[in-house]
Amino acid sequence: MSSRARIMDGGQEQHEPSFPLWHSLPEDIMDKVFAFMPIESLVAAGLVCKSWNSRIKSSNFQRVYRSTPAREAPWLLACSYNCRDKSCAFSPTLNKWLNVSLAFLPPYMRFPLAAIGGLIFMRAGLSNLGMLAVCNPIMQTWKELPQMTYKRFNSLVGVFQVDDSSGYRIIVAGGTSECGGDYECSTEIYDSRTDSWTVLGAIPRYYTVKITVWTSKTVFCQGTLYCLTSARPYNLMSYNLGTRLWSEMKVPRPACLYSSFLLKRKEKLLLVGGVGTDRVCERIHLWELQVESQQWLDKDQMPQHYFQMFYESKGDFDLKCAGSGDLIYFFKSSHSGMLVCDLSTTPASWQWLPSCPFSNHDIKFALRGLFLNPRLDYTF
Amino acid sequence: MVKVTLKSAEGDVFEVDEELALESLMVKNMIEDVGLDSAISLPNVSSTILAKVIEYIKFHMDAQKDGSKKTSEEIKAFDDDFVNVGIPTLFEMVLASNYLNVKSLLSLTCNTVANMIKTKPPAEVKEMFTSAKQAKA
Repeated sequence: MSSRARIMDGGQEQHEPSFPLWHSLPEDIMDKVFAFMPIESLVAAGLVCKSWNSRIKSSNFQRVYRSTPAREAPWLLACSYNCRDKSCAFSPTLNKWLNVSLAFLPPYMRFPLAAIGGLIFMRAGLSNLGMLAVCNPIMQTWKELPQMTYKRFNSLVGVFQVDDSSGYRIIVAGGTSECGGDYECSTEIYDSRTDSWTVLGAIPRYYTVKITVWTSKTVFCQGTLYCLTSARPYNLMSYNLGTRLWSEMKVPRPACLYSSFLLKRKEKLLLVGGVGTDRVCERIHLWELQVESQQWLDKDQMPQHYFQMFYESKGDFDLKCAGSGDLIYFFKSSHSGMLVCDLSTTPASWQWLPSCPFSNHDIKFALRGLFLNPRLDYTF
Repeated sequence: MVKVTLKSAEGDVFEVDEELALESLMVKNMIEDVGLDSAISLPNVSSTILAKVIEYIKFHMDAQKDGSKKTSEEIKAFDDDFVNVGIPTLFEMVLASNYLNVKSLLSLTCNTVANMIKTKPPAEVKEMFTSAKQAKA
């Protein structure tokens, strides 16, 4: 494991300033004080002096910190597909963008896949086929995961937690044995508690073809891993971890769905997609899946005046979507005009986000949105 | 009403209701150990700070009593005013509430210190506590 904490290292100070008054507070009290501070203030506090820096990183403080509840809604981590290049995070609590660098990762570890809690999961580039890594962007620590049983390319990857205290699992399925190679018809799972992979079983080739995607957006909900097939018609694939069976179901109006995203809210699946005709996207719609009846219910849609500003020109149907809890974010590869929808109110409230720091960049790049619970204590 | 006598670092004597004194878990333990016959000596707490702590506990006990007309806004206003003191005094209150083991006051004072740090850049935090040092000197 490599551990670097550049943002917390406070490398600039030449001499150690003394604060007799601070030192009058015992360390366990400073732990209590720090535990009241939001994450970005803690990172800044680590720059004040060496004693604070080591205090924040100490195991005693980490223990106090672990018992404090998260006070911030998860950040939307926006990064390019090569996440080491550009990344930043939006805090809905602070209503502002913050600098979160992923440049501490090794150069080959650059494709963000998924996030859970305070951890981000990445896969390596082509030269390191099938290699996965996990990092805590706040602590700037990372670790390479053990090699999976079957090395694969473009596989489906789903990360989930069974409960908050028992680490995380990663399901990997499908993919090809190399770029353009034969399909890898198996499912395997990684368990962070044992730090090892186990093969769960085979997948019918018909399903393997459908779940082999160049990006994997999966949702784990009620013991089942869901993903949308990457090609139209957008069908919903699911893998039940209990029965170890794959299945497939239709999504609404597949013929005219442009982009589609699967989200989870309150243990229910939401589908977001652009609906239109004749190569024109006419509206952005939200559905909720009724698991028992396998019916998709209309949930909401982007209000027309927001929709018109979101897509300034006709024929534009670039849509990215990411959701966490009641908040659903809508954005485009150009990151101009990002919208957030809050489903906790009736009707849902919509508003524009402050301008993303990347939106002025000349270089356009595809943007991924992942959710990060900014915490110091999440480890691998 | 049973009274408890508390003795500050300077030797000043504070007579308070037992109910109030028991809000300090440290005093509660002392009473359980040695009884109420003699004054409880608090060599780590100055008279000024002890008077403040007593004022804080009394206000919150009254506010929690049935028939109290205090609104949550009034309670918050009292708390805000209570910790609106210089850094040296605030630190003494942190230490006293820790020593006396008054959980709500410890949270209030630690949170206040956290708020002073959290909105400022590191350089300003350094400066703030350098001047705090001078203020005490």
